[in-house]
Amino acid sequence: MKKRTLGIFATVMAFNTLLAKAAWAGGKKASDLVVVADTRLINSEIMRYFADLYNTNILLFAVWAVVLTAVMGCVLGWLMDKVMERTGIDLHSRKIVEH
Amino acid sequence: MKRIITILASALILSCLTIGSAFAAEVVQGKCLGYDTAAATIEVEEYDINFSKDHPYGHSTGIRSLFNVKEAKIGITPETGDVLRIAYDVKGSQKMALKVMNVSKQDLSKK
Repeated sequence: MKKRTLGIFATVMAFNTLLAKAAWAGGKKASDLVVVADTRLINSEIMRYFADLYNTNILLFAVWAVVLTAVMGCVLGWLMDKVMERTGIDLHSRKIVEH
Repeated sequence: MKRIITILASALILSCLTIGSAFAAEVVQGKCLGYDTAAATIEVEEYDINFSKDHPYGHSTGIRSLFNVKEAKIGITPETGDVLRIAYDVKGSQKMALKVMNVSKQDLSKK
């Protein structure tokens, strides 16, 4: 009985998935979302560099995004470490006091 | 040895990142006058950067430019009258479009 219920449930789920896929495939093909950064308005050299990179080489732009995210994570971690240190919590050494 | 590898890796990453300064494209915004799919060209009447409430995309400068879009990434299909923003490179006498954004049909500022 349990096996039969599971079988029916699996069939219904598979049918549901197929139906949803058919509905998605039936629509008109969506066009790509293309964004061009307007570099005519930028005066800052660094902003111009990133805007140009976004327009011309999206892969290098993605590499920059990853690098900068990692750097920001490190800076935030270091800052939080300093804050915790000032509250008196020692995070540098681990002492087991229970034993 | 470890130090040399670290220095070399850092230099490689830095050069990879700074090489990006070699990539620079011009940008133009304007009204689409025609999109020829067979010839892969788009003609645009250029707008300036004097934006106002009545002219959110700038005023017409009267300059007509033809862009080769053979290798360009085109978003929403341009139609005559649409405002387009095109990033392009000048190669010889031709303006080779890299990206074409349909500004009037994909206005990010409205969201």
